[in-house]
Amino acid sequence: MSNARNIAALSTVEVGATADQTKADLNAIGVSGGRKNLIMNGGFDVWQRGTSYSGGSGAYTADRWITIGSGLRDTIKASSTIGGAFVSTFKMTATDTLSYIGVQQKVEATYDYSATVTPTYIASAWVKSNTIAQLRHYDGASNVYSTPHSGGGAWEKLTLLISGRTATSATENTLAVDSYNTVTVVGDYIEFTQVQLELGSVATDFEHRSYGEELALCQRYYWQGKLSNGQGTRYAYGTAGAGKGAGSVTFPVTMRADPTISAVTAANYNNCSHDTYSYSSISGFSHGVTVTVAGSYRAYWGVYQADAEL
Amino acid sequence: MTIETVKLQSSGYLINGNMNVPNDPANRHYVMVQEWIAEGNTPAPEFTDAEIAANAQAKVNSESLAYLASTDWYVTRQAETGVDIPQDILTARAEARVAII
Repeated sequence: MSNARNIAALSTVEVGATADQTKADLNAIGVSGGRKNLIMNGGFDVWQRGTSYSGGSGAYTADRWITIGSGLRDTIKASSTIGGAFVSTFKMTATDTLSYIGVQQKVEATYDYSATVTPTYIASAWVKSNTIAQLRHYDGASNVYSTPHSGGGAWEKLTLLISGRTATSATENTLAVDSYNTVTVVGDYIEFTQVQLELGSVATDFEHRSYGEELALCQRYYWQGKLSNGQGTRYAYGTAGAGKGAGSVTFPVTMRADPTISAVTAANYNNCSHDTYSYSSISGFSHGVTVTVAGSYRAYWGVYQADAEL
Repeated sequence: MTIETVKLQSSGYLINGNMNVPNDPANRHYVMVQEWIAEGNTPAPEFTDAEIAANAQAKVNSESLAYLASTDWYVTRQAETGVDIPQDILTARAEARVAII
């Protein structure tokens, strides 16, 4: 793709140009359309659960990203400079001899995904590693892989063309960054950032979204909050017993499904104790307590989490 | 996440004693519970016999305390004016005191 052709594309309409050619032209001269990245938190700015994690697979770390592979590993929010820009990164280091390490994100489908041939996508990410690291797409039945990182410890941009795939369900359009099929040993690491999945066959520049936008997108799937003394708190008066209301919480963003509710930090309780979180819906939930002393009671300053991940 | 315990709740399940899972097939933890049940496991009832008894006693305690509080004025009146407390009130107050554990 020559610069002359790119510049010409600005002032003329190329009748014969494909959508991908036009996309490549615009990308080459620095014009990058928004709302193209299907991956959320691909820049690893949002970490509602905390910025470090030590443990095995099946744990959400950075928002929307869940650990995969067997054995133990440390994950942290890190940072680096790529192309002159200071960026947040996700770094995972093996602390055990594992079958592989990695993380993945399931992309939510908004239509009946089952048994339909998916559009052509292209995934891209900046990756740094001292082992085999790659992009991997899973459709519920099989994997396709990018060319792996060289393992040389420098930043390399990986891309993966995803074409002619058939998802088996609405929750199996999954993009992973991992060392799948490679045994990792203590000290092996994969660091990555600017993970993008977009329609078409040309990988364009990473779509930067503001922290507020990214947080709101992530809160459709997970929310965590420490409530103020007045929010989710009720000074109430009641007789002793279970099932008494102690307040309700309204989520800042409508969630994907009725979420699982749990406490990150237990509330403080006056004249009552925790009973249950009930009436969980996409909009909020109620906190029920057991009143231990008839009269006024309250639950306050709890840190709650709501999980509606795929 | 490994499921260790599942307890029925009025609006879903309580997993591992700290996760309240709603009855929503789109919730991944709900799906995990259904798979756990399909493997032959059975959720525990919402309340054990001990919890049912404790809740019932707590209700008795609360109602008894409330009754005593609502009739304390008879005692005050007797102390200040000498008017006797009706026998039925005295009997009921005695029963309330005994009922509180």
